[in-house]
Amino acid sequence: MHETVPEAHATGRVRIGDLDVYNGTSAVAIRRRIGMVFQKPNPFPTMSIYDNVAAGLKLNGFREHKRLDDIVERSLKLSALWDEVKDNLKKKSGASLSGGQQQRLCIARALAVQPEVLLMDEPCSALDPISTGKIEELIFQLKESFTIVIVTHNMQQASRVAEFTGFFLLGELIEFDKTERIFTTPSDKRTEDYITGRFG
Amino acid sequence: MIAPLVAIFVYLIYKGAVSLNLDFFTRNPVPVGELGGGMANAIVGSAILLGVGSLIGVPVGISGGIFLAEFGRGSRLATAIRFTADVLNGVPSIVMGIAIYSLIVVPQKHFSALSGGVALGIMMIPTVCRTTEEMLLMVPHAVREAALALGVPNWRSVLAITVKTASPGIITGCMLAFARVAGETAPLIFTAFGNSNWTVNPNEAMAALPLQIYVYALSPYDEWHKLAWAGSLVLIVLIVAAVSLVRYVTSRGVLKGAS
Repeated sequence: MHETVPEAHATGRVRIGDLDVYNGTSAVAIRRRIGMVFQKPNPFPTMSIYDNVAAGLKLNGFREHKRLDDIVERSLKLSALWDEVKDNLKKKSGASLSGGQQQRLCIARALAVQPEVLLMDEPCSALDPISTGKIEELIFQLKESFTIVIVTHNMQQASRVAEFTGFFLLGELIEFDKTERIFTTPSDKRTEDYITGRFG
Repeated sequence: MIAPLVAIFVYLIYKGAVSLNLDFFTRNPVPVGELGGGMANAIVGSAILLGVGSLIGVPVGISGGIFLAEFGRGSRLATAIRFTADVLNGVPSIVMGIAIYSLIVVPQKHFSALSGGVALGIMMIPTVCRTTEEMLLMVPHAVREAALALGVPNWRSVLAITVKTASPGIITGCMLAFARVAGETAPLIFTAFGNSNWTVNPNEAMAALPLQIYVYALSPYDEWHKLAWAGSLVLIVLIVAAVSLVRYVTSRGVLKGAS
């Protein structure tokens, strides 16, 4: 996604299974394997709830309508939104939902294409504490079946939801370890400064 | 804003309504001296001319706008297209008429509705093109990102997501262009020319409401003046009706809470 920003550049390697992300793999192919949830909920405003979830499959040429219904239902159930929207699936626009619901809709949309990795870029920073709680609960359920990478500025959130934590400073990976270790006995001074609140 | 519009409308109804009757919509013009007669041929002629015009102006304009906003951003070709569109927008309609006259009518050796439609279509292009571009640029970046993040190729994301999100604005642009050229007389004088008989053959000279109004209003006959007023009223009502119809049809698909 950073390729849409001309000034952005990356060094180092990112690998997903046998896929080398920064080395000659097409962006479209990578995006098909990584689901992404953005900071601000961004459902397609002109599409119904159903079409929002089905968008990823439909736009990639998926045409089996019967299976599509199942996939939409399963994705919405996975993102714990099904019960709230099942009566208005095709009648209401994705933009008519509340912020927290929209974010769960976006998660369902990302899940529908069955990614291997789910990338969440501060998924709760635009949400209130109750919606945040729901999303975090969701993360707990989803991490049984998907690999989730979550970016957060909220240390408590990191310590609540993550098994492994990496600490980035100015775009550089400072330390990566089990979450308990990062938060109790980090090996780098800068990590310690950050988690003890000396800066940031 | 509203006062002149109301004034025009009231005056048109006052002057035009008296000569409006069924004949006006069902009969062709009659020679001077005979009473009655209508503008059936001009109403149908206008519809055909505008149809041909829209068939040219809308697709070309929209594709141009999509190119400007999504694919050509910053390229020299885009700058050239944008400049051309702005200049085209400023070309006086009479000049457009003469240009089409020399490009189509002269080689063909006869006037035709087709050439008139082409003139109207070309006049629609700049408005449609620039509004499409502006509406597409207003689509939030987050919506594009969302589509790309699903692994959708860029061209497909543009067509299925960005254009769809901007479609209400794009339709408004098309309607503006349509309403503008619907009343154009000058580009039709040398192209569609006008015709006092009934014809639906696009390769023949064809009547159009604005042309008929022009001819009738300049004539020395009272009867024709009245018909010109009635024609003006009908022209405005038909434009409003066409625009409302398109709006109604396109708004039926909009969902609750869509922004």
